[in-house]
Amino acid sequence: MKAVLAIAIAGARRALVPALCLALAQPGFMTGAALAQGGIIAVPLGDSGEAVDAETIERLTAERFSPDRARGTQADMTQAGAEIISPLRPLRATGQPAGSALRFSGEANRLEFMLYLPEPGNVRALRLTSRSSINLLPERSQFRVYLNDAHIGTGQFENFVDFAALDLPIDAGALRQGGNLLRIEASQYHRIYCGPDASFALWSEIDLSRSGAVLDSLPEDGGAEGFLMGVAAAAASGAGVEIRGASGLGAQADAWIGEVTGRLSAALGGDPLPFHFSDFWTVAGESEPAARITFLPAEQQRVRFRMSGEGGQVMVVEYRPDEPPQSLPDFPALAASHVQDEQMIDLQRPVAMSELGFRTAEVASRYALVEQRFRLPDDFVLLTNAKAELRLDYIYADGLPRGSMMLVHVNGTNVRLLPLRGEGGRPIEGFPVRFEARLLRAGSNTLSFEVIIPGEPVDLPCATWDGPVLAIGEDSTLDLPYSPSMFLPDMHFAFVNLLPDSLSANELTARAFDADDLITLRGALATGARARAASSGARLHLLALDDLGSVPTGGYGFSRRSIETVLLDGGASGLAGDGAQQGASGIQRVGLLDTARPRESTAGMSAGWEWVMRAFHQASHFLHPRAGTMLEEWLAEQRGQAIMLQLDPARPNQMWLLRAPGSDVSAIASAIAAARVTGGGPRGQVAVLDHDGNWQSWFAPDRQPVLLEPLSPGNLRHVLGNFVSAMPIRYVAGLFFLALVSAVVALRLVIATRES
Amino acid sequence: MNRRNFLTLLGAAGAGGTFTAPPVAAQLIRLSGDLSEIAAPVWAAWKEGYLQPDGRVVDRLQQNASHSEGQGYGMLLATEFNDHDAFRRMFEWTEANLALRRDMLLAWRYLPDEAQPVPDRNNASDGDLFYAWALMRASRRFSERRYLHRAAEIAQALAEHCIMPAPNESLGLVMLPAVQGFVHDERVTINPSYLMPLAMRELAATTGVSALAQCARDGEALLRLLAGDGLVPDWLSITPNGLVPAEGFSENAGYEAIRVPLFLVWSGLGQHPAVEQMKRVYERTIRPGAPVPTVIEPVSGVVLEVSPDPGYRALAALVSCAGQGGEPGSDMPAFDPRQPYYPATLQLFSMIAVNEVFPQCVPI
Repeated sequence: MKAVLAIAIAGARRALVPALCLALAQPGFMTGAALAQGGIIAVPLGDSGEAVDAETIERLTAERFSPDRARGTQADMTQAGAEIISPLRPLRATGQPAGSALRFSGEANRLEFMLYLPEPGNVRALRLTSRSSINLLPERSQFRVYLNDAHIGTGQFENFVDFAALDLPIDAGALRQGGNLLRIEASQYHRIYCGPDASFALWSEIDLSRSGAVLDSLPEDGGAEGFLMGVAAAAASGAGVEIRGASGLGAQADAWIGEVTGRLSAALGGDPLPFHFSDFWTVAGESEPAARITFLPAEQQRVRFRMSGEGGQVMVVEYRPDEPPQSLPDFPALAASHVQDEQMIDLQRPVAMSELGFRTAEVASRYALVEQRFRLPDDFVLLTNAKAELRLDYIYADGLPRGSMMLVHVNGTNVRLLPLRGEGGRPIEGFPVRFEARLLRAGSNTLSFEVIIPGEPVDLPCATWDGPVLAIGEDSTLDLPYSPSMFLPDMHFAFVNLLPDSLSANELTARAFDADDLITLRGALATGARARAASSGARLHLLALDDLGSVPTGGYGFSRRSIETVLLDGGASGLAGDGAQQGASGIQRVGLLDTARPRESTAGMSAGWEWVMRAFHQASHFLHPRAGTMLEEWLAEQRGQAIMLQLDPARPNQMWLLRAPGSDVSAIASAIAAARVTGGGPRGQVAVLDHDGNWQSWFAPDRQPVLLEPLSPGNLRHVLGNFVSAMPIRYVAGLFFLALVSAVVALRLVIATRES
Repeated sequence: MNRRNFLTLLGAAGAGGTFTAPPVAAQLIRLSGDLSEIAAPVWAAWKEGYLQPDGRVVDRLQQNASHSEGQGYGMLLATEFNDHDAFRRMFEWTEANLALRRDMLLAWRYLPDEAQPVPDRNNASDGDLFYAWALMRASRRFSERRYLHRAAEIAQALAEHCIMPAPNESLGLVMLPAVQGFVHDERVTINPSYLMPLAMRELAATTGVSALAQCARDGEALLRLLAGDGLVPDWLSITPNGLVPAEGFSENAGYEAIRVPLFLVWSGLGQHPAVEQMKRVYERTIRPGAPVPTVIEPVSGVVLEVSPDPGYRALAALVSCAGQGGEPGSDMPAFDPRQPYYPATLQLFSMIAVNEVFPQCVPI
């Protein structure tokens, strides 16, 4: 062949190519057959017109088109794909940012999860990826795992440096298609010390995104269960669920997105799902999206579950343009079905705690906090010193260390200390614990039992107990007194009645909340919604700091600067560095002993005058508290990621939310969702979500109760008691004035009679 | 559908191809748009990954070389993404470094680390074709007449030097892979993936070089013939007696032929047998989350090589989606600039094909 080519090149090249070009330029140019018949072989000229030998051309061409030329990343065809994990989904909101590890604290703890499985037969193992505090004694610190209430395995907490995985074999027969309830019970021991203090130093964390059912392969048609699995994974990683194609929905966008995200959020429960909008054409991130909702226009409405190119689970929602949502799937609310709702408690009768959902609690650790939540009617107001009574059934082991005790708390306030000695081993039934009923509040309440058992000795690991050392009986009763139907201004009522559609935004909202934030918050409000919330008309207004002036203050004075101090002062918590901060904010404490404030003058007269004035203000404040000043003082001590406001008692169904710049909206949404379930949410007139995810609430001291029922002989005493208790100084002043007037009149009468 | 897309389809249909209107409901049209608006981050990522500031498109898997193919591809992308600055830089670099031939075509490769960066001055006709096509489209988009002039020069040169009658006259015109090295005795070696019907027809319509349109028509027929026996191979030779394997070249359907269904779909030929053949292989072999086939034995369909590069998955998703009716949405992955230049660029081509021709195939 080379010889033939050489001949062709040497002999025919210069003549042939122009001829060929000419022929090609004409209609009906030379055919292949003609070429073959003529025996002429076409080899075009080189670019420079100089001869290029055939051998060189062959070599260059062979190099150029070598089959081995790399044009992509080659993969091993036998290589197994990346492991697929259907992650654990906590049943309850954690109040932490999305993607956070879940923590077991203390000696004994248990957490429940939902595990979504599209194909149970595809599960290879159950994986728990954990790490623990170095304080844990690995030989005795362990976790027991229950799947659908069946024990499937036990593992040890022994990873102290970094997260590491432990696989538990799992019997496919123990699994169900769809949702599976998984419970982990942790027992943790301190490696050096024993006692409550040691208990606080014990923790283990589970990386949710890397814990769950290990699947052999991705299900090609996972259906709704596969999609829920993907959503759980998207939540566990913190990446969130993508919403794609929403811009095509036009005027129906809010309806579609609200409906779809609301159904999903309600189905999965727990922490709110972070949502974010994406375009069709995107650049890959560090992690692949595990779940997505894609809206596509189509001839008819329908929903299909598919898999994305990245391996994520996709719910494709096909819609007819400009038509409202229909035919959406009903995801079963499996998670919510395992979360106990707070029970409403009856008044004026002993109510067994079992009626509130309490089951006999056994304690087998040096420190334990047993809680029971219940609800009181929204019109429950008791400000007097009326008493409530808990009649407690409990038993504790004989021979507990000296100093063992059980504290009884009502809404965080200690009402009784019960020493655990002297009567060990004998059941104590109906032990009376009387407490001030004014500690109770409308809505959600918490009764808690804090058990503290010192180590003996404290500087050695705790001895193992064979069984529980204390039990609290479910037959204990709670007897609460009557309350007239009254209302005390509190944002709680609006908060518990918020719905996904309750969010309100104006043109300035976008400065603080983008579209992704709105949809994530909307998902949070799908959690714990009350049955009749829609009729309340509750609204949550999302505000930018620049729009603070639009908040109705209801007569309470506070400055923008104080709000900024709360939200802009980073993660500094509580009073840390507050001296400098207060100085910067210009807020002045009112107090006789406040000597830290620089004095403007050292002159004796001036100092004396200032002292007198401060004493006057102090006294005045004592007699008639001015809420505005107190709010400023309270705000000066707060640092947080969000603030909720409801200052105007005339608008009890309106709330306003401000967030710190750069704050994680998933953490705010989670705190909102958690509060709606646990009742630990924002209350009073102003609430700050601190950096630990807890709501700190401020109650105006001068808020006045409002009677919601007619005054009658039956309620007169209770109503008057509440009014007087709300602002006693006013009634004292009134009575004093009345007495004074009476004295003057009497004096005048005496004088008059003497004159006559 | 915007006017440009409409014209594209009209041109393809009017040229006598087997184009059938895609089963796109009218409302699906709202899924397409100006890529410079709906996919700007993707283009930015491509430039960041593969385009040097001087306008050189770098293929790191190939000794950091640049090819006329890459320059043409990049310039076409710049046109689609309405990025005149990037287009100009690529154009100027190409003219300065690869436009070394007297016949107006481009040298096929630039090696930055060699003393003589262009040791082989042979051309690559697919690179020339895309370069000319990009210039032609750019002349419209950026209203620069000089681009059209240069496109016409290249189109004319391709017709003169690289398009010739097949040795078997029933096959009509074929396009040689390069000016030199592919004609031996009575045998002509061709690369089917160098045929891009849409590009050839648009160039023909704009420059008047009708040989390109005729070659596109004959090429589609040749591909139909090849698809009768299986997948279209990377290379083949044509003799007076018919089609034979190309000695010394890949006989598989590999990294070259992987472009055949892409270019056919882009040309509006989603029902072409070559597309259908590849679609069947993808349906049989692609698994969620697993690498996709990139080298396949053409007749048996046995997969010889796979790749995890998202670009190849995107291409497979396009091919799988384009042929089916009534099922909106494809499983194209997000663009990942960490993959090599070649699959990355094919992924953007797939994106353009969806946007221009099959908007119902947007990624789900």
